Amino acid sequence: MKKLMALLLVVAMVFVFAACQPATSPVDEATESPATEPAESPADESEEPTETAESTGDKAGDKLDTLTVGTPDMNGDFIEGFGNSAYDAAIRDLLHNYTGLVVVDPAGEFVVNESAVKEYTAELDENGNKVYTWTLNEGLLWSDGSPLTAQDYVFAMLYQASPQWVEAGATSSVGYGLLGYQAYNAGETDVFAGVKLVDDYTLQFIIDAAELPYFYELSYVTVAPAPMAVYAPGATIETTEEGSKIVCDDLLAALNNVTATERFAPTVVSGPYKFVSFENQTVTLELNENFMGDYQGNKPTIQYIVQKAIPQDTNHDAVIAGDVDIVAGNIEGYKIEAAKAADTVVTHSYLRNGFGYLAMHCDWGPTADVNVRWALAYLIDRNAVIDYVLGGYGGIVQAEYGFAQWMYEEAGADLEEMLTPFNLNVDKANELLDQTEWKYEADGTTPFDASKATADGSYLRYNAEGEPLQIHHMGTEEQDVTDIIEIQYVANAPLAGIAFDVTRADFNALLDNYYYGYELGEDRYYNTFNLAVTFSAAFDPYMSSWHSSKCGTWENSCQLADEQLDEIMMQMRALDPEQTDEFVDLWLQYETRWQELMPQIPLYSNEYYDFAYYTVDGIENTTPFANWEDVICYISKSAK
Amino acid sequence: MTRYIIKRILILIPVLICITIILFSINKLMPGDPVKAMLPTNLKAEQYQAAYDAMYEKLGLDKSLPEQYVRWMLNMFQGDFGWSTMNNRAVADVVAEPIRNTVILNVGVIILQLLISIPIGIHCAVKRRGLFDNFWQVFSLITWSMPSFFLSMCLLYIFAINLGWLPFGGMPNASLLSGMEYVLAWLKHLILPTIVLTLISIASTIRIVRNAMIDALNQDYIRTARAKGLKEKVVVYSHAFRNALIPVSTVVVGTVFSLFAGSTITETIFAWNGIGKVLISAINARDTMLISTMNTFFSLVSVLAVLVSDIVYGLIDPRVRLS
Repeated sequence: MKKLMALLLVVAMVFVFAACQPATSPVDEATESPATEPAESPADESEEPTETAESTGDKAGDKLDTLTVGTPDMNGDFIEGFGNSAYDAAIRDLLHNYTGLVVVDPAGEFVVNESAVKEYTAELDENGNKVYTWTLNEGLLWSDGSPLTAQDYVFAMLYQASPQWVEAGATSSVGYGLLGYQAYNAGETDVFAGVKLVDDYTLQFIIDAAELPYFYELSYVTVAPAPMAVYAPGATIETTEEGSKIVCDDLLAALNNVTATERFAPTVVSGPYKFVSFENQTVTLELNENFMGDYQGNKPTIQYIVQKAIPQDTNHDAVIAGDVDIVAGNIEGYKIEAAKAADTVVTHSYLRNGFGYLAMHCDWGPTADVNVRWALAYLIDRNAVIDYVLGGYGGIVQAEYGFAQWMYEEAGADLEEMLTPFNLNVDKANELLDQTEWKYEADGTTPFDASKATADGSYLRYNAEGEPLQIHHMGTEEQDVTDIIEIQYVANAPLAGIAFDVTRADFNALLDNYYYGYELGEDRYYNTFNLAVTFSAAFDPYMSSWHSSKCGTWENSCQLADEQLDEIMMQMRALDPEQTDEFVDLWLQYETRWQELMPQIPLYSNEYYDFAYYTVDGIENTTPFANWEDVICYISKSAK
Repeated sequence: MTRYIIKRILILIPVLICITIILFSINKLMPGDPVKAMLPTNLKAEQYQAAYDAMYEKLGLDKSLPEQYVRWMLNMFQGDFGWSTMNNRAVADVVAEPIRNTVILNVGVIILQLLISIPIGIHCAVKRRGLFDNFWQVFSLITWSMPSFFLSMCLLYIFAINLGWLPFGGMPNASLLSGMEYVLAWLKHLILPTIVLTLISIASTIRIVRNAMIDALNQDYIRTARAKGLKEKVVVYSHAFRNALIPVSTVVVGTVFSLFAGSTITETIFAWNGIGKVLISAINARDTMLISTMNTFFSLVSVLAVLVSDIVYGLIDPRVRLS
């Protein structure tokens, strides 16, 4: 019996050792440099494949006509208006979003899509509205070979801005900023004044004078086409001097049908790929021969795209082994190290255009005092956060900006000089807290003595009413960021006399307490939260949203109200698109004021890593504004 | 027998109603607003309110709780299991494919489990305290005690990462494959989760079969059979095993009904699009309608398993008086 037990133990140990062996031997990484412009030609790749990759010819990486991308689960919503999944959005981009009138290029700038647009004019009318007249190229086609005309663009704008679309269960902000949007969207009229169909190749979108000037005005006058003949068979567009409307027997029924069918399996598309199937968390797309080309006229070469859900803990191993071709947006240090060490993988990195932060409610509790907010900023070691959460692969921002923003590229050095760098500094925190109402001992009269404070939290700050300085933090579950916040603040906050506790909850609870905390009244409990943001190409802090007019709504989640900040924001958005220098000047003022107010403590800015199997070329074209699906025309596969 | 079955089914109805009320109440007590979780955060305040109101009404949340419960039950009888807030689509559409995948996975597991564990259990009982018995006792103890995630990760590292023989998980891509390629792709993706679930499940079955057989082999009628000079094979399989079947039948019936029960951890680790994985995602997203439907389904399956088990018990053992 003893011999048998010993034998079994030996077998078990061998089993475990075999399991823990590294997959590959370390070699130099292949590619790692940020890029903002698509490369002219596929990058050279001289590394030899490993024996593992060669030994299995049926791996996804070896199928040169198919690009397989590994992601987390998808929802399967493949038209605009449903869901927040970034992985569904990637498929939507490939099916629909390459053919908008205006697109965002890999550098994050709004550019006119020359594959769709032959020419355009922008003129002010007698009422101060700005009329964009778009003339389309002739010969544009849908994936089924039918002609793609101005009517399809107008229809897309009209149905997505309609109340019927909301009633059908979709959400959309398409059409916002155009003349008559509010009335049309509210169902007060069925005519959208800001939209006009001129002829088969010409249409007009009219920006409301009240929204002008607007620095990102191109973002108001764009839409991707929708196949009207499929979405609303028999419908027509009727245009008069008052605007345009959809003439349809029952638009709601048609849109309900779209949400029940096209949403899950689009039949006719305009993008570079056609939908084949979505089954078992695997989407398959096939090349659309009728694709008009991207904004520069480029077309993809890979015949099939397969995007499939794979286990996320081992997604880097999957690309190393060639089980998938691409896994994008990795931030974990151990995955990055493993991918860099593997000679079957090309890595490409770029800094996130956004950051992770500790948000604070600025209208309630101790964090309503800016000195408390700054004190909290001085009580966390942000380098430790980056090491703990990102394995060192990240950067630190001092205010609300991203390293990839064009403003930062132009004036980043000036900005860094203007901002106050901050990191763990308990003395500074105490100095700031002494200027708040929490400057006493428990009796409410004896001044707080920082030298008596210890990490065990037995000596805290109180206000004159004898209330302790208590911060309640809510973080999401299973988040490294929540863990390091707890580690840091539970150790450091008591040294400044703050009692800091952390509660973990799911995202719904975070929604209730952070976004809708202002609704909770006496049940309001939490002061701080950890979240993250990624900026869109249009950096408009009014919309995103720090304006005091949005206090009392979920949009201004921190409930920050500051007149000076309001004024700068309104000045920023009221510039003409050409006034870039003025925009940068105002942006510097905005960032400086934002940091003075410190509604959020920027904790880290990730460095994203895209991993591609060695047979994939062109992954280095991804940027903070362009994921793999946005640069699909520059991605190819070849045997090596 | 028919009267007994009808009586048992009638008793099940109030049991199921109680279960559904409890499940509905628990879900309603869960904190959080499912509509808020559904809506994107890029809407303007006024658009958001319109979208919120439309979805609130669509989900029937504007009705009173009793009305919501009654509507839910009536709709379920008509095949309408409600709206999944996590997926923004009908619950029936969300669960159909994962249930099919779970059944596909579990069919193989159950066949292997019964094919492996019953002969081994019998052999262990016949060769009690021998090398064979001791090995399987220790083996079953190890696999029973081993967390499924650990076993899964070990197998992934060996067969997917180090050897590269099998995929890392996920589902086969059916659209680009056909014929034998399609079948092979499924088999490849099935191998690792099947091994994990089989190893974990055979442990208890081996022990139950073994113990039932040991009990049976110690009975007087076995001694009598042997004294009559019957062959050992006949004694073991015709006399002992038939009597040992009574406790084993309970396990078998339960196992068959577990076809529909997903394995949350294993399915998640292997990204197998099964019902266990869907359920855990629904819980994380507080998708109350999906959780309620799945729990009701599992409750129904459980009570049916008990019913069938009792009926089978009576059929196998004439000593059990069903009346």
